Amino acid sequence: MPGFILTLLAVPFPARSVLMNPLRGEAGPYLGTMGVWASAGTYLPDTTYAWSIRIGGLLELFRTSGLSLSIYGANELVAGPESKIRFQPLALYWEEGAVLSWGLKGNAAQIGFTHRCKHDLDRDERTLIFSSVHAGAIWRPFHARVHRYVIWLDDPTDRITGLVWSWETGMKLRPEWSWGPYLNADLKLDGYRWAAYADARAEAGLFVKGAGATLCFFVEYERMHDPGIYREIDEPGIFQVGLRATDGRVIF
Amino acid sequence: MNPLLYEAEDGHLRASGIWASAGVYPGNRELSFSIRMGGFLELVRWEGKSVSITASSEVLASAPGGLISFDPLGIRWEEGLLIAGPAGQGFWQAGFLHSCKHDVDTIRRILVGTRLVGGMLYGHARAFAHLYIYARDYPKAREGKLLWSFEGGSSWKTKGNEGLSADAGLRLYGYRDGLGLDARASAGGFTAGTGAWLVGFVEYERVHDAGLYASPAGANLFQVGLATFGPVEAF
Repeated sequence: MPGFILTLLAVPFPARSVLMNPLRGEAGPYLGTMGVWASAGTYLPDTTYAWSIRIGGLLELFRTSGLSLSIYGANELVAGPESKIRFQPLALYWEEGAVLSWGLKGNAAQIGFTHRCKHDLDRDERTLIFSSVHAGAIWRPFHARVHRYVIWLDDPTDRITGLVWSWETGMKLRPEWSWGPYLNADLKLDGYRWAAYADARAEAGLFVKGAGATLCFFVEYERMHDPGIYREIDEPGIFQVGLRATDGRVIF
Repeated sequence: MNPLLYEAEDGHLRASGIWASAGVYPGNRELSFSIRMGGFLELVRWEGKSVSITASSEVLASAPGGLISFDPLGIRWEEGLLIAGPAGQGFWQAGFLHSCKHDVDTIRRILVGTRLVGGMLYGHARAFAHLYIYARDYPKAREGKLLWSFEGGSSWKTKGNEGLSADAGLRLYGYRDGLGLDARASAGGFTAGTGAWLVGFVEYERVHDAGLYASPAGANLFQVGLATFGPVEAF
């Protein structure tokens, strides 16, 4: 089905594990579609990171003549293992934005703006803001998006203020069955004023689709250059096992 | 949140819903913004009963000025599992909820509570009792441990796709060394599309302990905001 994809992927964007396509929902003209997703996973074996909890949603405000305007938000909580219940909240990423989507000869295109920030929980390590204007496209099962950063803050390291652009690309392979295996893979290049760095992510699992939601059991591997949690660049390679629920329609 | 408002046949993963709101506290630079978000996913439904998982969060922020006058102060989370079923003209719900509050970019006070919950939804009215099986207040800002709470309230809205809505509720907290009372009232206007509700609201809250600062402190909060709920059938 041709349509628009809001590509949200790659580290450290909190909605990197899902795609959002408001045009897969009910037609407008206003408030026609809403979507939601959430995931919870544990990193094995835990070192610095032990948990990742992600949640997000989308609301289509207007749709007219094939043009869709939506707002969306997402957040990711990262927790460490240093507590009695092996869950010590470390950091929280937020993003919220607006996207304009339209069809393009069977492909999909979107432009938008996303404001992102990262904050610490119960401590003061490093605060980030990295907001971008972006343009993306999809040739299912592939998707891509480019960013130009326009607002920055990095307290106290100042490193992210050198981030100029990002380029994301990926693919999602999933059969049109009620259950079965699936595979996602994403790559992100971050262009700083002095060099470019790569983040990579791969996810595989099993999905089961109901009338109102889709549930995925997944294993995920991520290699990040700078997740922004610590003042030093720690370049983690982390393996996650988790569950994710999506509405299976607008967000998948 | 009541998944049984969403008509569906028996089976798994039949219903999900989401809500979100963003509001400002006018004239309050110390506590200036509230952003709330939540949802539910019905895991299974059989013979009119439903098992769902739920989650919600609230970010509270101040307005320090500058380019982005939004400085997060604290965040609350709540997640749990609820079973629901019909009860006459209404519904019963029972389950457990785990909630916590953490500070953002500092540490002042951490609150954690795990509780069993049971209650009724009947027409416009609701009532729930909460029994805390675990409560933590770090660094022990309040000596008396939270034991239970009881909440009751009512919501109302006009029929049709546009109109007015109102909601009011009370919640009584029982500590080992005393009681606390919270009250909340909101009113607004709504419009509905085919997929979501949008509500413009004003809200007044009186809380006995906002939990934001190192010592327990009450607050009177007046909020103006926008909220959205969807899908339409689930709320």
